[in-house]
Amino acid sequence: MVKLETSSGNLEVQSTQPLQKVKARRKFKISLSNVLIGLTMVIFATVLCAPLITSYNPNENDLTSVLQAPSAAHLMGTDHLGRDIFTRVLFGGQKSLLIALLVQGIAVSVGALLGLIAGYIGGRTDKFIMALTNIIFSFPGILFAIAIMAALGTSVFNLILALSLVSWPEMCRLVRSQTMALKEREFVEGGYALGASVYRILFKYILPNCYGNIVVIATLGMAGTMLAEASLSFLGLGVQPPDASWGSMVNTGKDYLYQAPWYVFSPGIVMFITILGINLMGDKLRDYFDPKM
Amino acid sequence: MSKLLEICDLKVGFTKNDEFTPVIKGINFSLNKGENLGIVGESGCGKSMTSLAIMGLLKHKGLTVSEGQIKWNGRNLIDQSEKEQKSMLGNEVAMIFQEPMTALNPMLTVGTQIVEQIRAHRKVSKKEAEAHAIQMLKKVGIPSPESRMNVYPHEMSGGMRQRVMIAMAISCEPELLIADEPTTALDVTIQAQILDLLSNLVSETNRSMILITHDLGVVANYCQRVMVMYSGKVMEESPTNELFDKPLHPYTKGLIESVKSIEENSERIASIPGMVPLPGEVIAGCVFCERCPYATDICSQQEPPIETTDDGRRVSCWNYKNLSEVVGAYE
Amino acid sequence: MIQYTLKRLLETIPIWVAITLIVFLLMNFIPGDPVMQLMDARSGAIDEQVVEQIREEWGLNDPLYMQYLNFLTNLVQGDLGTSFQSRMEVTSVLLERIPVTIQVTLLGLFFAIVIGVTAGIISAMKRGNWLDTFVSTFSIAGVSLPAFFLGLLLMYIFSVKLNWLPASGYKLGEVKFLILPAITLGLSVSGIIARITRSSMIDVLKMDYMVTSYAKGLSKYRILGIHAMKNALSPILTIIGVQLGLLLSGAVITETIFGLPGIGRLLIDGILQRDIPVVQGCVIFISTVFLVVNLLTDICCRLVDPRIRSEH
Repeated sequence: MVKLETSSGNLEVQSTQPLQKVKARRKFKISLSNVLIGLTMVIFATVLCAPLITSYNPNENDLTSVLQAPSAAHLMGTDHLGRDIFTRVLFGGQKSLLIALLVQGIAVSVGALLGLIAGYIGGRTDKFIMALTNIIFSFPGILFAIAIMAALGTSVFNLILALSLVSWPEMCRLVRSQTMALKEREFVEGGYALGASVYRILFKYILPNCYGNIVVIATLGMAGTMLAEASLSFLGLGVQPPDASWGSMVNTGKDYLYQAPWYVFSPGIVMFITILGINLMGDKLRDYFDPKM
Repeated sequence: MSKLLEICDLKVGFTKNDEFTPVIKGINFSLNKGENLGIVGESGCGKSMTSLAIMGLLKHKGLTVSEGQIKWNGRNLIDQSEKEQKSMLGNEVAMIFQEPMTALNPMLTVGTQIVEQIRAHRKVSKKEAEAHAIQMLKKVGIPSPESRMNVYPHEMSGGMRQRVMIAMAISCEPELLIADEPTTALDVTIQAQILDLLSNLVSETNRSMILITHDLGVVANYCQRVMVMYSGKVMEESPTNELFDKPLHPYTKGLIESVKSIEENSERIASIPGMVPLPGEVIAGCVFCERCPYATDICSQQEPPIETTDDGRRVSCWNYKNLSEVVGAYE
Repeated sequence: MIQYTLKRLLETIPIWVAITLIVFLLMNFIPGDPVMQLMDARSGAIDEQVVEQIREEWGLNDPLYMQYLNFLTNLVQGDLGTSFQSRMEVTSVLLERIPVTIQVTLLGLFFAIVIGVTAGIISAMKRGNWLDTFVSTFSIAGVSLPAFFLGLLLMYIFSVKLNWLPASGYKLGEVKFLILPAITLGLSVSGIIARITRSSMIDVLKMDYMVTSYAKGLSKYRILGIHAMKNALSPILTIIGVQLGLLLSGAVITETIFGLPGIGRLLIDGILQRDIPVVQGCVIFISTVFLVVNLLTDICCRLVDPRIRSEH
């Protein structure tokens, strides 16, 4: 009887949860986080359509209008070379966004693949892959990326390489632990019984069940990557002048903090809102896929 | 005899998604000084919630009192201040929980946990409190209590841990002890020891006790009065002997039958068919109706009132007077 | 416990060796011949013979693995080589810079713990309340705000506008130069600490022994400060250990902004001047500290839990 009770209790829980989700989806609240996510979307759209929105050339100097305060002509003012900051923020954002997307694409592919392999095969392969992730985790913060950039030299390719190298381990660990849990489950064992190939089991049975978590980690990872890219560019180890990037704009702008605070704040605030919006989105996705957190 | 505790029309429940779900649906009972009351029922009937309500600890389980009064020596506990509550808990009323492993803090020594309670209510030095704690440990039958003071809960056996819980509970000489299934988590061999200890400690000092259990056998031995609860309601309340001699409520009857059939080793164990309704389930009429072998038409339509019989027992059943006519309904 | 410590130590050593290997290999990637660069920096004239002599002297003609083994043996003895630029021992340069970084980091850690743990506890206590929402928003904002921008923001407010604190510079023993960098570091990691504290506290507050502690009529301070905190401590300690690493690498950024002569600045200057031994030394030093701190927090986490402590 006790057993019956618990199983009926579970049934209850299972049947009520989808209902709540439907409710939550229908009820859209205007909260600060939703506004910020919306704002991030707007920033994405604006950044991607940059050439349509602004008529200035991001890299063209105009020494007649140096360090002008924000106005109708220059929404965010101009920098020390007379370039339109708004335009540079848009083009810089394009670069940051593309880099972050590419890096997360690489991190997801490499991380998920190695995670699947490590979790599925186990044994020495698993130990080796985990040791690799361990070593990368043993470097604090972005120090590893800094070291790589220092060694390989500054170029966008190297930047993507460095950030990808730092990003894949987290994805790998997640997919690995999920794979290990999933491969014991009935439906995967059912797959064995049906004579499914390893490839089929990994990519048709196990991987689709990790999608939710992968999306969450990739979203949060994207915010992290943008932050790291901005930090590297700020240190002069990322995107190089004259090309704009949010981090490098803040870096050059910091010398004009007294005369032209907008130089630092314009790219800084846009960057902050974007990263915040992506993080909030990641949080929402996490709540959606894993409501108990 | 004066009333130590009076519960009037208590309703408890939780709110989720702006919807209130009742768990205790209006109960009344009282407790006299020096009396042992047993509260019996299946799991989920609201007996533990009742004890938490008395202690004012419902909010820590996400529950609230929606209606009713809890009177302690004539004072209503529902709207007392936090300060008043703090000085009452552990001092005038103390509680012993079901699972001594989880109820004791794993990070603190046994001694610390007893001493802190003493010092929360008595203005004594640390040394005096420690001496008192050792005395308490001795009283509950823990060998070499001095050395046990520095031991962590995980280093003790389940029975010893429950003794520590008891020592802690009696350390400030409370008027009322609430024991919530104090032996459920323990080995059968130790259960009787713990219960004997509890009842000795209580009778010795003319304290009162509320013993919450699902085991009618325990109640028979240790309580003067029994209240049977089902689905957040009181089904029956009687002096223990009378309850066992002549149960009035079909549910009580079912519980007693099932205990008897186990004790007599009969081939078929009598059981009550069906399950306790889930919280939130709306039941028209009597809450026990669906599982009741004696149910008549009125039972599923109208809720029975709680009636007081001529000999002072209370029962909530439409048909309690006709029960004896249907024999062996549970066999 | 001692066994555990030894086991963790043995696990850490190969990781440390791997780190030194990776750093060593990375530095070998750096384009350009270090000797040529050195010559460039010195005079302008390059004497082939002298170059060859120096190469031999520095062991640059040895096979790579020999070079690494030499490097590792020297490293274990505390010798990190000589700076290409200043011709000074890297170890002594590091030792000179370490106090600044440690001061900023520890002060930053202090702010991070005070802000993070307090916010986390409040938010766990007032779960669902506006304060909780505020703390959650604050912590996610903390994670999203780049430290360099936060630093400039603080500098703008407190140095440029209010003129309360110096914008940059450093003088031994003067705390005012350290406050802004430390707050920058502290704020940037306090969000994560608040988050972990909150979830750890929420887990603990659900436990049976918390109900017991209320049932005993203890004071709020005792219930939260002793009963809850002792149990919630492990995950908080762990995250603080991890964050210390972030603080150290964050020092690279804050020291750049606020012009502090610490290890972070040394690293960036080293990179810009292609001073390989200095870069190598800084990276290895920061990683080693991080590794040791994590080892120590792991051991501390075990020490605070009597259940694990008494295991043999």
